[in-house]
Amino acid sequence: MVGINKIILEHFSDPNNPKELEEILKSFLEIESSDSMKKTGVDKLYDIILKKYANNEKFVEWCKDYVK
Amino acid sequence: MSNKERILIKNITIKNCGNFYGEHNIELSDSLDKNFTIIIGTSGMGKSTIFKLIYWCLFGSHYDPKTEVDSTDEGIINSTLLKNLGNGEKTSASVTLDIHDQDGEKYVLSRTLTATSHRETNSKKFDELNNSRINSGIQIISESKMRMTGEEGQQVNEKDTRLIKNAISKLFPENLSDFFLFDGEKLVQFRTKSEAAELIKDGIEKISGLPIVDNLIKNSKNTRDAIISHIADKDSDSSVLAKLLQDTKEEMEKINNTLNDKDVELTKKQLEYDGVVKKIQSNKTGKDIHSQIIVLDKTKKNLTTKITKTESKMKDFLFDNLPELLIRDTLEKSEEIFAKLEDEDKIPPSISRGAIDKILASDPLRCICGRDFQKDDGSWKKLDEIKQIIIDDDISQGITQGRGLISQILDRSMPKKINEIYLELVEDGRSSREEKEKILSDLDDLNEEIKSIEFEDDEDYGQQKKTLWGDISLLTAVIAGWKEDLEDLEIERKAREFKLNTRIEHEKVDITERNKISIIKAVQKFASEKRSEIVDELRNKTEEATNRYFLESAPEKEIFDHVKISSKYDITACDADDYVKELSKGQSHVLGLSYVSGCRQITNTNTFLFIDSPLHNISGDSRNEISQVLSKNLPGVQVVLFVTDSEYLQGDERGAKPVRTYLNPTNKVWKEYQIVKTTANDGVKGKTVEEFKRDV
Repeated sequence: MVGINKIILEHFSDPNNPKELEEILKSFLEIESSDSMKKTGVDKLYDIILKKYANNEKFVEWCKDYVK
Repeated sequence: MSNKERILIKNITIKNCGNFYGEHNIELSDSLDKNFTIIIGTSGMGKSTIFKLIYWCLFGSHYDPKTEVDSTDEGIINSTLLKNLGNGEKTSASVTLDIHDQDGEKYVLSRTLTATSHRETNSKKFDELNNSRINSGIQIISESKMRMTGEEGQQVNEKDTRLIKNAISKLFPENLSDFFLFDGEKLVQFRTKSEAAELIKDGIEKISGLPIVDNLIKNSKNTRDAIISHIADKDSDSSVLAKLLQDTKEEMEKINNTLNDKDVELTKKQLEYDGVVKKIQSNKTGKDIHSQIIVLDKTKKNLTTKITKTESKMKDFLFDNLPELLIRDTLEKSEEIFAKLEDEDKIPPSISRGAIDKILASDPLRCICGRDFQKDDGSWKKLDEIKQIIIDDDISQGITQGRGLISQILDRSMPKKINEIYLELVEDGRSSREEKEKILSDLDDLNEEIKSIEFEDDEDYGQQKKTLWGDISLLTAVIAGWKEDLEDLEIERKAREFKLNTRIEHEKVDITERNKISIIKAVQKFASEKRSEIVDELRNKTEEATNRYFLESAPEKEIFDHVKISSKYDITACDADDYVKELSKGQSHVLGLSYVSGCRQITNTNTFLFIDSPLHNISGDSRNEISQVLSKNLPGVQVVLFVTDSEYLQGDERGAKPVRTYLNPTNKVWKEYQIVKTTANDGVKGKTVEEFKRDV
């Protein structure tokens, strides 16, 4: 029951989307599948990852368009 | 399959559990090729005991405690040891599992029960305090221990039950235990599509690892909320909105907690109710009355459905007809006006400006009705007025069509006919309600009759059933009420969230924070969209594999064409015309085994599969085909089959050979064990597991 299912990873990898989105999703999936026994503050870990991409204007614009 | 992580149990050590007096060790296969281990035992020898002890060791809870009242900690400890326990003496029972992955030992999990005798008297007092139980003067303490490798490669012996539970549930979630510890008896669920639906859903939506995606979506939302809340703290208006939103969320959480508690309470009551019904059925008169109740209950349900349908039909009927009935007077008056206008030649049967011009320009002047007239008489004036009113051909057509429509509505809204249909529907509803009233009264009588039965243990099960049913009905109503409140709060939450988001978007806040919200929103949307695509693919893959296995091994397989798993997770076997075929016990058994094997196509881990009584309910030839299909379709999966000696070692009266003669030539069987009777050195009789070495 551990690890990330290949089928899930394949669906999350779409060449038509920005590579940044795939990178974020992979990082999030790794956090979720972590074997650590004391998993706390997932939102903090997510926040740290988001911060890395928050100044990438092109990607942020794509995100805004995508959720419209 | 081979690149998946393997999870297996290499060794089972049982000490003083059930009839297994002393220490007993069973080594299981870790081979990729010879991946089958067989445990043979005649009925009642202890196959299921071993199966249930593995479950208990993994989860610390008892396998299926609902149906097995003896599934308790006391029930695990060898009864001879408990019986001979002197005052102040102790004894212990334990199960140890060596859990391996593809690299070797991962965890060594032990669960131990220590019993201490505190009194010599055998009172029936039962007390439960945390992890210790006192029954018949014996206190039992449960302990668990897990050896694992720490972060720096050192060996750690963990005793914290919570941490052990967390680590184990990562590998083997208890709610998914059917996928690695499978009870063959459950295969009969596959006979009806709906009974198996829950198992199918679990397989596709949980064992596949999809909860990782669900958690990602949930945590994306939580992260977004946290960022918004952080931004809102810097602005007073946003802060108020955020506080309101938080209040709603907290209220929802409270209700959700209450709902969970009520659900647990309801399940408990339902189990108690089932237990009471079982007791009633154990009495002959009770059984007869109960079977009558079942029939009446079924009729009652059908009548309730019929009443609901009639009511809905009546609503639709009135909705369709009432408006027309209500405007009928107006329409009739309109029709009269049209007729009068026609009579007075104000609206000719076919009016148009061109037609009027033609009449006005005729020489001698003549109307389309054939009547002559003069330029200075009344008809001339009327025609001229009409011409003023008619603007173009469309209007004249509109008037004509309007008139036609009025006639049509009047034709179909005949009050008498509507009244007849309405009365028919009223009568249908009335007779169904009367019939239902009668059934309810009969049910009351039957339930009263149960009260008069004298049960062996002097319990009034009739009254208990009535009280429990009342409690269940009340709880169901309370739960429905809470759910309605929750729905209202969800609407409020969405509105408040929208207000807060709008406020934040128009605020001068740190651009980085706002960009983070945009990104996380996109992540959340993308993951949610992909989730449904993933589920579709998982379902298709499972369906494909289940279909293949089923068509290879089902009894009378030639009557089937394909297996379908619907979007609601109903599983059905169909013929070439897509008609769902009814399954025999054996066929449903094979469908279940095909699914349990098939859903392993979508997992990311090759977790062991232990099956208790996999060949139960299946006749000789099919049994052999199934065992071969299992060996072929589960490569690399550690499989342990708990089988009876009759099905495994003997053929059947119709000439089918024993399963062993088919399974052994596949070269998949690593070792066979047999449970046998034994006498320990101190003279205590019990059971043990020894290697079975008879040649095929």
